[in-house]
Amino acid sequence: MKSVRCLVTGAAFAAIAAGWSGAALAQETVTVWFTKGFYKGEDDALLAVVDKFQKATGVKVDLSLYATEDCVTKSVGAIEAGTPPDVGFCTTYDFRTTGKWAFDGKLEDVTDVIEPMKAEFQPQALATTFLMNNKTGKKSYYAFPVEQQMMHITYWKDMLEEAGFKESDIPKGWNGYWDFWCDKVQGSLRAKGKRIYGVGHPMGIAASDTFYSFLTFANAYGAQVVDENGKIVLDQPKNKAAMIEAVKSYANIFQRGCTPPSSVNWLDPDNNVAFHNRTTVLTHNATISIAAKHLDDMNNPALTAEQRAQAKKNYEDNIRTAEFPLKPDGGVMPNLAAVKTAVIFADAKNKKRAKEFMAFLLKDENLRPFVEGSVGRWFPTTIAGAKSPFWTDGKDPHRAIVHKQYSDGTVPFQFVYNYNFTTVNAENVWAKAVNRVVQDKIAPDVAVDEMIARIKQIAG
Amino acid sequence: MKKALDEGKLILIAIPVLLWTLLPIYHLFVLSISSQEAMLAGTLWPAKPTLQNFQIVFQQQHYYLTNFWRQMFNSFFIAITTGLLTLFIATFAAFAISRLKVRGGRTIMNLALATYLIPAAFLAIPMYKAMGSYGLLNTQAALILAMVALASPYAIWVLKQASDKLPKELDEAAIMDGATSLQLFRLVYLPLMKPSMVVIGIYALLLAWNEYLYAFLLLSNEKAVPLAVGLGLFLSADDAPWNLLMAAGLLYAIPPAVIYYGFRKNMVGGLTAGAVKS
Repeated sequence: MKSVRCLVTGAAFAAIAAGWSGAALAQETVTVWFTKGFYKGEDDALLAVVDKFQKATGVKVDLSLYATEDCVTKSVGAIEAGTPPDVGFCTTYDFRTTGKWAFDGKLEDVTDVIEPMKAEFQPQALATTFLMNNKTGKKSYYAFPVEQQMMHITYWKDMLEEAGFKESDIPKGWNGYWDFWCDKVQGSLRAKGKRIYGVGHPMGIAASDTFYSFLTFANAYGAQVVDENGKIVLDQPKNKAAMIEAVKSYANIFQRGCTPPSSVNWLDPDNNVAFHNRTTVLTHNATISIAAKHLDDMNNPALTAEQRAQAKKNYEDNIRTAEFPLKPDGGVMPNLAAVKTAVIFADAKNKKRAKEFMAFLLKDENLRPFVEGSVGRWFPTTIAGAKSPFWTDGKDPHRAIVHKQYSDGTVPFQFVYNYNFTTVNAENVWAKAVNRVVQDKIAPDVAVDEMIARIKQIAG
Repeated sequence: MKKALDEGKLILIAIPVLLWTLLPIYHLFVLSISSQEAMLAGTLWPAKPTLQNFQIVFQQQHYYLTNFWRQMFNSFFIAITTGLLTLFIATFAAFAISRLKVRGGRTIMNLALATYLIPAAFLAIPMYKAMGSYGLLNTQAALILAMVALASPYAIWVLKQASDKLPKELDEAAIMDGATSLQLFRLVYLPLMKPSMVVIGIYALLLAWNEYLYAFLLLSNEKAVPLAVGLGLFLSADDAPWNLLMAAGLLYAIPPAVIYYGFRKNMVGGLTAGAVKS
């Protein structure tokens, strides 16, 4: 009797175990991990691509969607464990891992997919996926440019008017621009007894917004950090002097009391929060997510009609998206663009199908709805996508500015040329230098010396 | 007078501790009844408290909440299964070690204690790799097995200590009456161990209910993850609707609170059962 029981129990466990693992053997599968979209339209477009691909090839796409930070964490864990997905697209891969993975030989060379469609991509976007592999000693295409982002200025037009100014009063020059928001607009609102700050200025060391914003300032002053071979050139006198000016300029906004004191501790959402609750009149942000929130709200059936109407007014009238002012030397600002990269892992089980899937996704008719589903947060990396009426018909005031900024030209982050800058950014050497000036009261040139020394330690 | 002074001192300590403990819960509640605009206003109490957030959560009207009820069910399923499996394993193990005095029992106890000393986070990647090798990744079984593996050492330890306190004479009397080991287990051991078993079952259940790291690593499908991971989606956006997250979080916090208060007498009794050797 006992042995019969044992047998039955054993058989039950075996059946359960078989059930757990057996289903995966039935059909050819390609495993795909993506960052979950901000909006339903984004994911619906992706699901439509997946559906079309499955019907066209008979291959099952095992799609998993993750929160932004979870996506990259999970990918790193899977690579360490030797079980990566076939395709990965997390919107922080470019900041964190793509360059390093390519350098360490963890990514599949996708030149054979990119080459036939090379002419369809914006050259500067495509260039960011041409990466060095230390194992082969050669550069090659190790990633797909899917979409991109850059810095934008966002301000409350109604608060500006409340301060007694018109949009036409906003200066175009660098110093005049910041003086206007800090002295005139903030001063006027303070005179009315309102505790409002002119600028929401990310200063927190733990925020990626801070290094994105700071590097925009560094670009404005022409502080070149690396050359195209990845060699550090920041210690050259011209670049060092420019970087000192950038640190001074960035720190100055805090020092003159133009941003909330808490901004030294801000995380990424906090400048958005301060803007939404009208503590600040202006902020700079790495997508148009602030305005897009109101676009989303105005179409959200879960909100009341009154809330939707207010969101519509905010999106269409009250909130403005704008370019950065002209550089201190009077030139047009080069826009720092971050290209979001998808990859196929070298240890992937089904690389052939993974390449087919990515080639399929990157077709204009598939990629465009996916990018446009983000209602303007992400900009296309393809030439056709950038010419789409979604960006060019002029009906949307925010997207029109985004399109103009990309048309003005973009420059890549340093990590495209030297992957160690992902570590420099993660450590936020830039924010640390600024905080040394504003909190520890050291001179900007000393802070830049420390910055250069640390950068050389990490990326030299 | 001295008693009053002592009580006064205690109250002086207790009030800040109480406030400090309740402050996050207060924020959770206030944000959950705030509209989007009021949520960001930084006031202590919203001018117009609203239940709209709960309505949106209940009806899954926000994009990040489309699987809310499914994920809530997953949380229950994973937590209850973990609780039951841990209880099953730990009770039998404690019985065998403590009452039947099986050979190697002491070694198993020491090993159990040793594994408990390793932080669970350190085992996450090895566990992920192991589940990958067994083909269990992306199944709830993987998470349940991982949780049982994490909960069992402590569970065995506590139940063994509690079991040691039971008088040996009860076993001897039962054996004299002709009871087999299984009868001893079922008719003598289980009824006496009930308070400790309740506390261990709840411990394992809450461990699984609150788990994030393993759930996030071992599961991928949105429809398979527990609510803790599902709510993590709110952190995707720099413009997350915190008021909805707080409303959903408040609902997620209710079941463990109900369980704890429902069984609090057993919790205290069970936890102290193994504390002192008689």
